[in-house]
Amino acid sequence: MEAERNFVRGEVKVKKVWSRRLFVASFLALPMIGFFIFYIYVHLDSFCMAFQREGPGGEILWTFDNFKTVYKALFKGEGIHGRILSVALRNTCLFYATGLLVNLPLSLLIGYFFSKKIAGYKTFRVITYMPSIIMSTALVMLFKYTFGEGGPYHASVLSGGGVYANPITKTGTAIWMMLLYTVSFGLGGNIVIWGGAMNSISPEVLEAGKIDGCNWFQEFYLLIIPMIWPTISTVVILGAVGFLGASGPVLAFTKGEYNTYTLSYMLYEMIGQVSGSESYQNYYLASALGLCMTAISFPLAMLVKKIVYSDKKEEEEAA
Amino acid sequence: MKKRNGIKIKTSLSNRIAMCVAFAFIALYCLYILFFFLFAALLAIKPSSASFIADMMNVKLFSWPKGATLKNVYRAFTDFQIGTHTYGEMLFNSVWRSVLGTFIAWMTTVMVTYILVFYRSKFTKFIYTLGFFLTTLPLYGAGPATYRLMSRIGFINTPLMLLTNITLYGGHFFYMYSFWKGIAWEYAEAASIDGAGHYTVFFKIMLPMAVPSMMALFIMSFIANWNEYENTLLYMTRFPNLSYALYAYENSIKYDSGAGKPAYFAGLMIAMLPCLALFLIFQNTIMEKVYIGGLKG
Repeated sequence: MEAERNFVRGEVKVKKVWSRRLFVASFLALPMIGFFIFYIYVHLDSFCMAFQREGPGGEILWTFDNFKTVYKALFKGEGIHGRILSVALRNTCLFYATGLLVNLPLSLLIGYFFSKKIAGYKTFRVITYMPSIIMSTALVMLFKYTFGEGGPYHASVLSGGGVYANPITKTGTAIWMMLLYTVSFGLGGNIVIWGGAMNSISPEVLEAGKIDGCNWFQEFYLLIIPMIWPTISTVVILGAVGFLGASGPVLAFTKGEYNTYTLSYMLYEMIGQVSGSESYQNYYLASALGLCMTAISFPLAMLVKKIVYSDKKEEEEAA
Repeated sequence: MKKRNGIKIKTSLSNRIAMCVAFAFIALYCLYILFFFLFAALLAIKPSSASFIADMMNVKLFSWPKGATLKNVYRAFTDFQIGTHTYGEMLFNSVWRSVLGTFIAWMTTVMVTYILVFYRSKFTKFIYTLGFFLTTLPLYGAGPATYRLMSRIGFINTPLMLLTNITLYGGHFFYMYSFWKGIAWEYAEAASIDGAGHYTVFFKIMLPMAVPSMMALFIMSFIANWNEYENTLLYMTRFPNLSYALYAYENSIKYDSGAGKPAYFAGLMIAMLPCLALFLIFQNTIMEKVYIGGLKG
C-alpha cells in the first residue's frame, strides 16, 4: 500500500516536473530559435564574410584582402573609401564626445532642476522629452528648413546685415549643424532617466545636506551624483560599448555629403549600395570594417567598465 | 524659508539665483523646441506651392501666409504619394507594422523574462548571464550578414520581417526583468494550490498584474517602431511607413521647385500626431515608471 502511494506520488512529481519543463520550453523555444538565427548565425556569418571576397566567377575566396583595404584606406587614404574612412572616424569621435561631454552634463543638470521641482517643471519636462518621441525624419526636415534658404535663420542673418550661406550644405559647417541638432533634440531621453534615478533618492538625505549648509552645487555634486552613480555608470558604459556606432541622423540630413560620414552610416551605406544587386563585394568589406571596429572598441569598453566600476568598489570597500 | 520635519531650512540666495538662472535657461530651451513645431504648422497652412516658393524666395517662410488654409490636411491624403503608395496606405502600413512589430517583440520579452525570473534553474541563469554579457559586447558590422540572410530566406519586402522581433534579448530586456522581480510570486503559488496550471497563472494572474507597469515600455517601443525609417529603406520599401515617406518624399521633390511642400508639411504634422497623443495621454506612466537602476541591478 505504502509502495503504491509512493509510486503515485512519484508519478505526480514526475508529471509536475515535465509540465514545468514543457511550459518553460514553450516560452523559450521560439525566442531561442530566433536568437540562434538572427544573432548567433548572423554574427558568425559576418565574421566569416570579413575573410571572404568574390572571385572572378562569383565563387567565394578566403582572403585577408578586405583588411588590407581597410588598413590602406585608414592609414594611407587609398581606395574609394580612403578619404571617407578617416572623415567618418573623426566624425564618430565628435558625436561620441559631444554625447559624453555636452549632452550628459547638460541633461544631468536639467534633470536635477526638474527633481527640485523648479517652477513649471512638469510642462518643461514634457516639452524637453517631445523631440524623443517625434520621428527624426520630421525633425530633421524642420531643422533643415529652419536653417535653409528662406527660413528664419536666413532672415535673421539678412536682418543683421550678414551674408547668408546654408550651413547644412556647406563642408565644414554641416557636421557642426548635425552636432547642434543632436544636442538640441537629444537631451530629453536622458533627462527622464536621471529624473527617475534622482527621485529615488531619500529626501531625508538631501534635507540633512541642507541642514549642514549645502548649496545647490554641493548638493548636486557631492550628494546626488554619487547616489545616482550606478545609473550614470550604466549610461557611460553603454555609451562606451557603442562609441564607434555614435552617429546622428546622417541619412536624413546629408547622406554623408559635406564631410558628414560616420562609421555607422558608412556601414549602412555599404549595405544600401548593393541591396538589390547580385554582388556582395561591398558586404565583405563592410564586415571586415565592422570586425576592425569590434576589435578596437571591445578592449576600450572593458577598460571603461573597469574604471567606472572600480570607483564604486573602492567606495564600498572603504565603507 | 521651508519647514520640513519641524526644522526650518532657509533657502540661500545662491540657491535662489541658481533656480532663477536654471528657469530662464530651461524656458528658453523649451521655446526653442516649440519653435520647430510652430514653424511646421506655418509651413503646413501655406495656401499653395506657389506661395511656398514665393515666401522662400522672399525669405519669409516663417510668416503667417496670406490665405492660410487647412485644406493641405486633405491634400496630404490626395497629393502626398511615394511611387504608387498613397498617404492613407502608408498610414495604414505605419499602424500595422508598429502595432504588430511592437506586440511581437514586447510579448516575446515579457515571456522570456518571466521564465528567467520565476522558473530559476542553471539553464535560465545561464541565459540571463549570457544576455548581460552580450549587452556589454560591442559588435559591429552584422548588417551585411543580416541583409544577406534576409535576402536568402525571402523575408525582404514581406511582413515576415516582423518575425525578426522574436529573439531572446529583445528591447527593454533588463527593464522587464526588473519589473518581474518586483512582483510577488505568492499570488501564483496561491493559484497553483487552487489547481491553476502554468499557463493560467501566467495569462490570468501574473500578466494582468504586470501590464500597467509594462505598458510604458510597450508605448515606447511603439513610438520607436512608428518613427523607424532606416530599416524600411533596406528591407520594407514595398510597405513604406510614414517616417520613411517623409524621408523619401523630401528627396523625390528636391529638384522640382518645391511642388507639394505645404501638403508635405501637413502630412508631416499628421504623422507626428499619434506619437504626440500617446505621449500626452501616458506621459506620467512613461516619465515616472521608466528609469534604469544600473546594470549591476
